[in-house]
Amino acid sequence: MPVLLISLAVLLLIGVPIAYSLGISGMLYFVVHQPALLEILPQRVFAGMDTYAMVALALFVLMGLVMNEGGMTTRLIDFSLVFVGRFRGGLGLVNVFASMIFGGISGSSVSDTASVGAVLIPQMRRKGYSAEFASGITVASSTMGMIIPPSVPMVIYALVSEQSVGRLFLGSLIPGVTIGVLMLGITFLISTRKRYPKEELSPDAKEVWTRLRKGLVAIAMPVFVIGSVVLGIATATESAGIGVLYAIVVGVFVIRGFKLSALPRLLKQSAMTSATVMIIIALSNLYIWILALERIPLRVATFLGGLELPAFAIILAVNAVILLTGTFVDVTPAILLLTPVFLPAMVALGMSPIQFGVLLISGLAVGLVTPPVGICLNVASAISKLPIGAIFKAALPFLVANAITLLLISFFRPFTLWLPNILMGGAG
Amino acid sequence: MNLEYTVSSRKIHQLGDGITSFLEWTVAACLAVILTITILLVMLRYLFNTHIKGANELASYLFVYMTALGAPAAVFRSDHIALSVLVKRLPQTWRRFSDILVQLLIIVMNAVILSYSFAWIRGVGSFVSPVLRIPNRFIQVSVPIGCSATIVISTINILRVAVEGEIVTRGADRAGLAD
Repeated sequence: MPVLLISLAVLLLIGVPIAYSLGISGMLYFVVHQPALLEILPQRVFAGMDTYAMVALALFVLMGLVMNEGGMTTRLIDFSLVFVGRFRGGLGLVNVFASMIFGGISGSSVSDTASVGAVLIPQMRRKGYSAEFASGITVASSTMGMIIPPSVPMVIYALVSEQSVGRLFLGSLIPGVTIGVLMLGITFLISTRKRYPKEELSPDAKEVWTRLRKGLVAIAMPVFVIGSVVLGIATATESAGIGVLYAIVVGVFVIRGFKLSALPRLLKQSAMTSATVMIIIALSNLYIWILALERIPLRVATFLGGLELPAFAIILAVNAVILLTGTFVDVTPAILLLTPVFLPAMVALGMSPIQFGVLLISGLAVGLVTPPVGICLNVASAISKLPIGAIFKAALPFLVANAITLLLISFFRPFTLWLPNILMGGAG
Repeated sequence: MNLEYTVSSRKIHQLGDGITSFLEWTVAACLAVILTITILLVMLRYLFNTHIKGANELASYLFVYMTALGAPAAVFRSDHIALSVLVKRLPQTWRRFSDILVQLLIIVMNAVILSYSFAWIRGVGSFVSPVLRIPNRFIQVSVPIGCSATIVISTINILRVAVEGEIVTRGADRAGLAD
């Protein structure tokens, strides 16, 4: 086992891509400990690639890209203005509100930062908001992108943990919305103290209706996608496929901002994003196999059980490990590395696999906005020209919302399980 | 001498770019077919209460090829997720050295998988798929094809670093849209 872990750490530090670091360190393990099993490597890698359920990943990414290309961001911001613009710090509130909806459309935090940030950071600065506040709120609220369903990381976790995608989507809905509501409150408090402006809206009912109508067609999509999975009308893959069709139809005929000529480029982009994630999944298959051979999940569960610590202390420690991992490791590999190690131990402590999945992804989402490798920080930094340290500092007050939500997920089971249990039955 | 270097390095880059573009458009085409099949199957099921035999199987095979061919393309574009915090702080000479080392490691890993894949395909490649009755080797061969393409691309990357002094491993700074 030390061969695997030390080689993995060294390879990651010298800049070998995570997928190949996992493959090479796994291979080294077999060379040292089980040379006879080396010939099974191609079969294990192939098994990792041959996962039909993950087709949903490529299609969800494509759905988000199509919606965004069609000019959805501006429509969502207009839509959000109708609801929260009139309050103190209106644009800050719009930033959070739009991210809540955007999370349901793109399923990606990075995409949220890039799209909402590109429009709102410059606009907020022009209206007198500090660049730090505008950037901080943008990155912090983007953490909802991968928590509010549909969420690409949830699909990956569902595959690794063999859980229902529908249950995970429903389980993450209340935590995601809670983060949004808490962030709206924090934004309002800071804005009131700093006397940030309210937005003046046209009282013309026709204009308000136009804004609402264009926003509603976007909001209908996540409702349809989640609804079709939960009600068993379609599989996650099928609902993502129909979601893409819906996004194209809405973009071309309703919003009229999407050009069909952009489709090949978006297909290429989403196929490549999917390939870079899938090759990590394929090569992490070796790592997961080694964990099983070494009985690591069982040993971790036994170790944690033998610590004679109360369950809440162990769960808090696992929270800390998730947050720390998220700070240094990207979301997909972190899900693949942590799930097989901690899931059995957490289940032994009485946590549901759905609850752990929502906890894991909500914790890892924070890593996207923490230095040194927070991708959302880098994106916001490119937009605002601020150093990532300054953006992180400004995002900290908003991340209190994430911390509270993590505690609720960890220690209050109905927070994640009530909705899936009531809508899909059972006591997952 | 400089001119020769420039011309040869441009050719190396063009070769890599050409192969990568071919791979990228191939995976895009695979996704387009998968998308069409997925939408068609839902429509056929709800509108005509019918289905296309083996369509899901075909989609899953195309998805395997998407990964096998997309991974080498991402090596050329440096789109693979990596921790680049430390490497980025290295002086240029060391950075180039690290780039070559990374590409060599990628080549070694793919060469090992490639070498074992032939025996694996010989062993189980004649079994046929459940619905389409396609021999498995036609799908399994995606592994050696992907490994070979990665070896070619990584070799081109080494030449880019050695001849032109290019930095080819950019790390994961580009937004990963899956997160």
